[in-house]
Amino acid sequence: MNGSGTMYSSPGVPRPHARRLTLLDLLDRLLAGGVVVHGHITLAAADIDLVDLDLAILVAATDKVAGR
Amino acid sequence: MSLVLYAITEAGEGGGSGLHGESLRTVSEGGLTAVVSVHAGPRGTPDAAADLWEYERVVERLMGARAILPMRFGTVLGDEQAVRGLIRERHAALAAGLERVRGTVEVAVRAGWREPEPPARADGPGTTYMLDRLALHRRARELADRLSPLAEMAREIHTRFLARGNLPVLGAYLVEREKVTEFTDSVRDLDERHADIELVCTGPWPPYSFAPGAQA
Repeated sequence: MNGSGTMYSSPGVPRPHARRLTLLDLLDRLLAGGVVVHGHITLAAADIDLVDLDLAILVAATDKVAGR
Repeated sequence: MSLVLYAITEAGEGGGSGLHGESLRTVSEGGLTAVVSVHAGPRGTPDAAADLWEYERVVERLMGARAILPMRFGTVLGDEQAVRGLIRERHAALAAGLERVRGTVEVAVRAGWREPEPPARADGPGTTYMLDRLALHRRARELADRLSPLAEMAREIHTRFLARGNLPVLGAYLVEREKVTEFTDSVRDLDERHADIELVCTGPWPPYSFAPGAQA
């Protein structure tokens, strides 16, 4: 497999928009998909612009595990 | 010593590195294997975007040619015992989950109308709002119907609708690896046949949207 990215976009869709959607698709999968262990999501994605995202959850930063 | 979890698979070999340069290791229990690395945290300023893509690269590399269930990003467990406990507790669902995705990858397709729906006109704001919502639902269903040739090429699909935005239909497709090219060709085909819609197709992704519990 070559790695994930934009596989196809309509000619009318501007490239930056397609790239942004690819990032949103990544976030949608990593942050709202996958096998979940409730109460054990620790790593933060706080500095990503989450406006316009259709996500089931927002990820909160926590330093608990690092002991800070 | 906390452990970052990346994926569940069957047989596993360690090797390669995960986030922040930590080595990947495996924890096996009852024929299933969790791929983990020590949670050490970033050396400098945390860069969430870089971490997300790094995580994705690790999961894709693990996927290679075998069945895996990706973990949600950021899953950290206290120690190896906790990882074994997780596998034991959810063994049946995880094993079934691996069967469900074996031989496939996930492809995302977003679809929208080129021309936005003209706003509804009615006597009062409440009625206008309801008419707008009805129109939105009707148009979303129409759009989803246009995508039906793609559904025929997938083992499973999961469709969501956004309340706004110009590409409001989000389809996640579980596609056999050897059908991915045919699938992409169909997306291009649909685009050419329907001048009034726009499509953006991304992937191939590991099967995040089809992991047990992912669509809750």
